[in-house]
Amino acid sequence: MRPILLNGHTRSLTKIKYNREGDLLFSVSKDHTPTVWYSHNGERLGTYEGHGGTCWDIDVNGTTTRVLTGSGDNTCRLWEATTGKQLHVFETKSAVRSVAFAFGDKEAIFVTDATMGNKSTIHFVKIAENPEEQQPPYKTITTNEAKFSIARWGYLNKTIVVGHDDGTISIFDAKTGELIRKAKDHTDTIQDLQFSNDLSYFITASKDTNSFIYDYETLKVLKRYPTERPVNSAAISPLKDHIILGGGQDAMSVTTTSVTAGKFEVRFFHKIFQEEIGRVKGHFGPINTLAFHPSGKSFASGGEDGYIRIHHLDPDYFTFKYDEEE
Amino acid sequence: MPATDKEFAKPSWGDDVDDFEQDVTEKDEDGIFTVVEERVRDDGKKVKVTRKIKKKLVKEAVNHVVAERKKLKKFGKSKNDPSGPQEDTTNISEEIFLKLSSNNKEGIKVEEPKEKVTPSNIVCRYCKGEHWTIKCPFKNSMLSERTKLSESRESMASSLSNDDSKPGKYIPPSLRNRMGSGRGEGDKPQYDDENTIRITNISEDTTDRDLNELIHRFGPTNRVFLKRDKGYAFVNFVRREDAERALNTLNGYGYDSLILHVEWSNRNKN
Repeated sequence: MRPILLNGHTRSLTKIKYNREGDLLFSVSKDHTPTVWYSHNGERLGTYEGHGGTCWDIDVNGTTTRVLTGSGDNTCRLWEATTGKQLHVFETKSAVRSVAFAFGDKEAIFVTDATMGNKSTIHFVKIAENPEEQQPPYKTITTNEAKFSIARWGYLNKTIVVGHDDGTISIFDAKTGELIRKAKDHTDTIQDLQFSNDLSYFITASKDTNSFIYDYETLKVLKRYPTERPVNSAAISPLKDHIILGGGQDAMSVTTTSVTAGKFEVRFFHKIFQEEIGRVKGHFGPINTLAFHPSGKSFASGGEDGYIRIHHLDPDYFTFKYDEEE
Repeated sequence: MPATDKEFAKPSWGDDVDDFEQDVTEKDEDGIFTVVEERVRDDGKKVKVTRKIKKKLVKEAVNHVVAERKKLKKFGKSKNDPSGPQEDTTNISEEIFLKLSSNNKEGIKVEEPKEKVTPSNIVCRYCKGEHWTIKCPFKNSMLSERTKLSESRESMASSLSNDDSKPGKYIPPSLRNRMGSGRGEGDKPQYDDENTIRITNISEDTTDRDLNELIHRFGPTNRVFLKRDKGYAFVNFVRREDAERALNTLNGYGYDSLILHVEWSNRNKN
């Protein structure tokens, strides 16, 4: 395959996300410009101008009409997805680390950092039909323990699944804000948390070099994918029993390592047998974020090197069978 | 990979046909065009080239909203871009292969050794068996025999040097200096190494003349060899005491902003 190289960003990527149909790819990076691309040919559709700091997370709603971005400039912004028009700015007291639309697009959450005496907080907002009537957050969840690094909605919007800076995974009740369950299997920051298609399990990526698949109901670790380097992102294939992992060493030690030793490849693991089945080279810095196309026929990766690479998988990928599967 | 709109609009240069006679048939029932052309090869021969081309229009059914979104106007930094991927933001990378395999655990992590050692290549030096010498089961019993062998080899060498009188006989370089005839490696003239000093850290601007000027005050020399780009020189003095004096004086001597380092040349150290 010949990956498509998107080099619109001037600094390292922090998050990429496909919309529901997978025709658009949304990206945020440490430069201040969230961007949207056509995923089939890599054409840049537009950029969302307005942020004044590093953007940490982006999410798009189910109908691809609204985009939510969280940034280090202490704002979370709501945009019109298809025109780039800014609809609302949620002012916060610290950097916004993670954003997520609820299923049904009526609500959203964003997570702010614990800095300058502010506690790490999950803010709940109701997304108004008319942006002029947009209200500030109506509810928050705070923590006194390790700060939140990522938050996602559980199924039916009943819960919020949260990854912490110390490796804890916890589930909060979305209505009452109470802690329902928590598990600590990772020993370092949860960098990424992506759900399976049916939301019954999710995969985590942690700085402690491991990636786990958790059962959503019980928070039991179902599968383990140990590696020898920090994992920045992990994604579950919606099509095949595969997962992909991306990572690399810390950005500060990249310049002293050669590309061949740097291990900047996307690694394919078999989801069930937990064994590595292949690698995709290309980035010359650690991979910060990965996303599977909703069809499972392509995937994209964003790296510390500032590039997004869209890989449309070759036909032989789909015919591949693991030994035990035949 | 799906082709971009741009690619459809402009066919690849590889498909361009030069100005030669062409005969294109209408497509037959299978939708295959036959292109027959006559061209003159470089060597002057006329050849007829028949190519069969099948064009296939691939239709893709997409979600209605996706089709709608394909018509969106660009915005933000892409506002003024024409339609289609722009070169400044979108490129195609080189070919990359994803090879999936079931038992990749070793295959991926360990790079395959460039030269595979097949068992037939391995011959034990002791017993000529198909295993590494170090793993030879007869290692201890063979060892004494081996020392004998090397002894006999040495005696052979000494006998060789005794046969010096026979001209034209090939003598391996390793044995030549045993002959004591004053000839060193190859046919290079042999200087008295004892009186040679090596000067390093010489500035690149130093010429042979400069070096001679620097050296001649210590006494007569046989040979001065200066490697300018590497910044070192060998100086072979006629008398050893001159060499010694030069070494003591010049070592640590500031010369053209660099500090010279002088030592006895390597060979005479051994």
